[in-house]
Amino acid sequence: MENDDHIPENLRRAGKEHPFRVPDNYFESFAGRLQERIYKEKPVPASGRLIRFLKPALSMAAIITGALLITWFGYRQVTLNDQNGTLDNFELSDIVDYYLPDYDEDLLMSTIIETGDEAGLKPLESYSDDIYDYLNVDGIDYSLLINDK
Amino acid sequence: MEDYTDKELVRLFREGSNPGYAFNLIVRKYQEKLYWHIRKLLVSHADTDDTLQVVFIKAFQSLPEFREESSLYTWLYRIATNEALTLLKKRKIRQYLSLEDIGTYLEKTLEADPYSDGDVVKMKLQKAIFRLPEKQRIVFNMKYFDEMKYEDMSEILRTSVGALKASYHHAVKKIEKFIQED
Repeated sequence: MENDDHIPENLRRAGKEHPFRVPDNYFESFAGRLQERIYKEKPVPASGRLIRFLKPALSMAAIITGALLITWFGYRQVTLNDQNGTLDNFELSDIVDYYLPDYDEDLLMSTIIETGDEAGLKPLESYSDDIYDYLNVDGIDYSLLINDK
Repeated sequence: MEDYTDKELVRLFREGSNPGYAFNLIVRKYQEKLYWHIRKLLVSHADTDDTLQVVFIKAFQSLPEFREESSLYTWLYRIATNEALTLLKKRKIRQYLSLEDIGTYLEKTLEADPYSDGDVVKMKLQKAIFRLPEKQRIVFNMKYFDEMKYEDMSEILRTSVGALKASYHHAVKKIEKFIQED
């Protein structure tokens, strides 16, 4: 390496002057302006510093708490609605125990047929294709069995 | 103004009855040197003025804990270099500037700054410096303009003297080439 302080000729011609200037009386007034700024930016009191330090953590905690509350209220609302429309096992067995003595087999069948009509259920024959397809799933040709009969 | 050494100024700030006065003496002793050091990195007078104030505010707040492992002079230069580079980094990120772009950005800043003269030779040298990588630019400015010792630069930039000498050597070669070609 060349001498550390070697300055080539063309660089030497450029000199050691730079093109920067400062406003008039800049350095004379600088200390005064600085003092004003230091007094304006007095150190934050310890309690303020603590709050500033904890602020991100507190914000995160508030967001998580908010999200949990919203989720919990939403879940509670859904489960309450479900409970209004359904019966639990104890309630159902109470109802069955109450009505069962009044039912005989004929009444039960007529009730099922009646309910089926009201619900718009189709006659059993209309499901025969579906039943046939279902039985064929296992690969057994039930039609042969039926024809044998 | 009495000529205090750095150690005396620090002691006066810490133990004296008027730390404000002691700090004022520190500011007056180093304001010009630090201003020009920052100005050569940031180019704009407005940015330099603001950064210099930040440097002294940080020094004022940290001086009570200053352990004097380094001299006051190198400690202040280190704060100034870090603050200037931090501002430059923010500008780079905000304006999506690459290494080449930062040279152009500094060139435009120099041309637009009301506190710069239009001397062709000085401008040419500055344009060559703006094209250097950041570290080489800092080393070149400190050695060429401020004539700082490598040992002090080593303490400020926390880089070995050998690496600094190599950086300066490369910087000089690049600038020489740029001036010849331009």
